[in-house]
Amino acid sequence: MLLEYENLLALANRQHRRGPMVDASVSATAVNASCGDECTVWLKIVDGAIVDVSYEAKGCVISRASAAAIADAAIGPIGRIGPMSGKDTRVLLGVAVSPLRERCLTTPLKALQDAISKL
Amino acid sequence: MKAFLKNNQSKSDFDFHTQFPGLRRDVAYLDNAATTQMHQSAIDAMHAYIAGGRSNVGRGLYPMAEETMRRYDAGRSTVANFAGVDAGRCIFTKSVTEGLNAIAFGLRERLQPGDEILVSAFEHHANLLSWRRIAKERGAMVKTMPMTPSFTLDLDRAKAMMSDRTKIVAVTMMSNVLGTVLPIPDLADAAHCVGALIVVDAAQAAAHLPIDVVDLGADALVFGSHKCYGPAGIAATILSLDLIDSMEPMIVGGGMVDRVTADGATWRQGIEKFEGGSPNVEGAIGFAAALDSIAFPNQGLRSRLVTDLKSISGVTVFDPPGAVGIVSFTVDGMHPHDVADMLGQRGVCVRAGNHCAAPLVEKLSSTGTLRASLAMYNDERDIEALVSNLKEIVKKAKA
Repeated sequence: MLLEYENLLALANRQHRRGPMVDASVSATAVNASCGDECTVWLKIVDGAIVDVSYEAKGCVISRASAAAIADAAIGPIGRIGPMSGKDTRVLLGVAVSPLRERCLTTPLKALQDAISKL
Repeated sequence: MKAFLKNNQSKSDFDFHTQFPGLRRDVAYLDNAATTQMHQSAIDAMHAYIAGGRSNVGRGLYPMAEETMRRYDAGRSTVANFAGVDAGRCIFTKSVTEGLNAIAFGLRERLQPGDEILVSAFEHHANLLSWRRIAKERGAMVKTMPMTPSFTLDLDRAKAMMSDRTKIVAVTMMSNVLGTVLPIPDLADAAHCVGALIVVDAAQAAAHLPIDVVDLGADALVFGSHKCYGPAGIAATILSLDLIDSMEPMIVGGGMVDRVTADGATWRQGIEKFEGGSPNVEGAIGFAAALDSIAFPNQGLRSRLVTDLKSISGVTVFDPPGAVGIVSFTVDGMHPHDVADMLGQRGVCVRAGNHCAAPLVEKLSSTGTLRASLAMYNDERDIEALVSNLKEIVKKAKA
């Protein structure tokens, strides 16, 4: 787990796509109360596709790394977002995450899906 | 209670792996405030009952049912005696949470608009939300008795909050986050002086401190089995005789009715009124057997744990004076869940988060704490496993 933690830490601390987007089409926030994780995503939508993403995330390493991975993966047609699940997020992170931390893993995805549902 | 570990005794004085078959040798189990490993005597007692032929209680008229009733009653007597009362004051519920909810439900009609319920800053959600709900329903208020900067109850301010508006003081005997021991007899005296009842959540205390409901001055007290080396799914709610007579039962149905007519019903008298539905007979038998075998953890271990954790750079330890059995701590720059996850991978079981006591934990850390909690079977090797692995995790995370 420690090696995985180190790998995730680099992703969790990455600055790419961080911070609010002033001209966002939509945004949403999701929280994981049990862990204190919180993730907000901002999306720019053009012709039914996500063309830009930014996010802010605080909380545990898994949640913050998941936010970074989800932000990268979100670019593209919005129809891809709704069916995504924790399994997809696991694949994106490429590490084994305990099922006990499912909510840490999926909080950023929930923020992304909540944003899409507002459109 | 057959045996109490003294400070100069160690785990090696007892064959704990024989007494606790679930105690794995490859694991340092330090999450006992959540659940303890079960004592062999509880397993044996439940197995003997189940394998010997079980029945329901209070229903069948055959010898096997009579034997089940005898075992159930004997279990109740043992559990009640553990708390210093007789069986006529001991109600079985499925959990401490259910017991506290049943008390809150049963006392709700005593509350009028403007009345006050006092809780402490240390409460588990079970002894907070149950009162908030009843207060909202009745137009009463829940007020919080504060904590001192050293994480103990501010008794002077707590006493100053009590007035003729105070109807219930609902308080934990031992914090499930910090191990803080609250001064129940002082609070009970102060509550009774203003005509209030005192309800005590002894979920954590029962495995660490003597419980004598009369000495404590509690009108109601609840403690559970699975934190005392017994099975899950059963807890004891001890009530004063006045409350047994006057409180309405939360659960109605079979087993607790005296008479049911086409449009009404009357309840049985005494504790039977509060035990609607088929009871957890094997749970009661196992609970009693576990209490017969319980010993308190070596308090010297907690001191050692605190000292060793404080020696790690970047670790903050919350150590209230007089605390027992539980230590909360944080690691600079690391989320508690991440640390707990990594410790778990290394065979060290601790809990992380808000420990179902969010208002308290938010005062300690914005992301929760790590919590190590001791049981009668823990020893220095468990402390060493936690501390050495934590040192390594912190070192590598900083690298």
